[in-house]
Amino acid sequence: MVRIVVLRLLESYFRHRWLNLVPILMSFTIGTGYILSTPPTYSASGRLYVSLQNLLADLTSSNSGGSWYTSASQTTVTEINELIGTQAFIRLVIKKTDLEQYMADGPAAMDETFTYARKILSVQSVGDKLVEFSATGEDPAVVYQIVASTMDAYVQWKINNGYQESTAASTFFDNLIKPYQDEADQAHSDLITFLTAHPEPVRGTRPPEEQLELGRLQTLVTKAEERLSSAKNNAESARLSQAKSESITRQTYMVIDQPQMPQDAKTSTKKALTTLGIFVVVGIFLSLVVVAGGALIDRSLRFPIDVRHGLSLPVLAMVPVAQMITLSPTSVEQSASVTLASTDAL
Amino acid sequence: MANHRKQDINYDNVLSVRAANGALQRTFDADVVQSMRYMATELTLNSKLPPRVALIAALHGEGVTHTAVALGLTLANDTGTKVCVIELNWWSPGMITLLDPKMLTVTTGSKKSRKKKELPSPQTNGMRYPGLAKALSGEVSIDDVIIHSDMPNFDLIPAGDVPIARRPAIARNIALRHMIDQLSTRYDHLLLDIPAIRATSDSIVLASLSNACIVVAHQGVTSTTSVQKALDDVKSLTMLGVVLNKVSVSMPLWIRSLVPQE
Repeated sequence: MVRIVVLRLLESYFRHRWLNLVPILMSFTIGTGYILSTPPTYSASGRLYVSLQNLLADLTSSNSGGSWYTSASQTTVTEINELIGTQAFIRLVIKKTDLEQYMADGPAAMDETFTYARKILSVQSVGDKLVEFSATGEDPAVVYQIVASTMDAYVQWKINNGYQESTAASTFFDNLIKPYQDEADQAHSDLITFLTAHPEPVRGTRPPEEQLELGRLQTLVTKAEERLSSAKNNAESARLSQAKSESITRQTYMVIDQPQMPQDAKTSTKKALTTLGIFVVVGIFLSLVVVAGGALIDRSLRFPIDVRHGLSLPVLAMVPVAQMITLSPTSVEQSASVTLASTDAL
Repeated sequence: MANHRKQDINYDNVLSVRAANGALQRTFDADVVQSMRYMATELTLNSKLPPRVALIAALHGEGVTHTAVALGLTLANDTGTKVCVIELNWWSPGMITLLDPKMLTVTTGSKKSRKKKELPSPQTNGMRYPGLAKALSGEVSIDDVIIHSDMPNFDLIPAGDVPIARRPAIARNIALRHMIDQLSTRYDHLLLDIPAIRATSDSIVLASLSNACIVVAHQGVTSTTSVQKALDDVKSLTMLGVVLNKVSVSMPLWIRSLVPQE
């Protein structure tokens, strides 16, 4: 049975030898066309150094539930990928790129732009402390901007995360300073008004009522100034804390390699050959399907083994397609004219 | 055995048959003769070749007439025995066409040349070569329908022309059986050209006039199922084997030889 299948498959191939190669040739042609018609792509990448010391707390907390080790870069990559998945973060990234112009074209265009940005952007860890941001797309400016913007947005997000409390405190005290200042000014003004209205007597001392009122006003001024001074000190402390937090974050997430605007299109011979190879493999598969289909459909008697296997009879002769030979009437022995034709259908 | 079509014809091994003063003539090329010789040798050496052999096929156009004439000619030429090919195919007679060079020229010519040339009508052929039908109807004697070839031990009997309505009766006519018996006394081997088994049940009756049958099948065209059904119809008869006709194998010989076929 195996011999019959092998013979039939081979015969099916050789019967239409060149026709069976058509799917391969077609796939090759389509693959070549696809590769040639694919627009050139540009790539840009940047690297962020993640300091381990400052991430110790994060790492400790993330590893507390298991025994595996997660490097700082891997943790950062996970975090960045999660952020990229959010609308707010990707919107922040796009804001600093040429893709921003599409944001005004409606929700559908926005979604499309978000998807495109997410598609061309990739983040991966390189070793324990390096995180690589890369983007590959058809527009060199956009890929460069996406990488730069993502790196900036992430660092800024970490800074914001760090000094959020400081900012709240700073804002709170900044808001307090003005009313405190107004209160202090008012107390000063009340004191001056009182002193103008009740000047120091030439002789003797102030009456006890005036002394009492003056003392009260002076206390108010002192309290108001103390409150103002305290608020100013607190605001200054908050700002200092804010500055320290930013500094620490910038030390933790240090941009080692800034992305560069790609000058040349990215051409990969390996990728092109792989793509072409896939098309050729598909073509070979189609050819095999055609050959196998031809063998499967053909139920005719082709080989002696078919007769023996299918009919249980011996093959007495395999008569080839006859050639018509016309010998001249005058000479039976040898030919005067020869014509080739199939004449054994009778 | 099976070879691809060759453009170079080997004239040393061709076999020709001439009859009716050259009006009928046929030359079989070396490859065909070689195949027939192989078959005839195998059958005669093993004493498998009975006096009456029917050549049957499942469908029309398998090449039964061609095989019968070629086998008969080869057998007569090689063994010296007296051989007669009897065409019993009134449904699709082809012996005269096979042997008539004019018919072959018309058959193989271009469309334009076919229009210009006049086809010999069946009536014309019927008058020139009366056929077995006339002998069965008693219009002529059996000797009048035998076409003697240029070989003294090889004769041919064409079917002749029989109306459709009379064909079943003729096939089952006792006179036909007597005539075959009579011819058996004259010849060592009778090769009966039988119509397609799947075309008419008369062919079963006609095949039963023989001692054994050879099945002719168009290689690469006739399906196993068709032949199997035909064999089921004549399962009571002895089968000598199968002749694969018009063989054309596309696979190169060296690849074929890598796959054992026995």
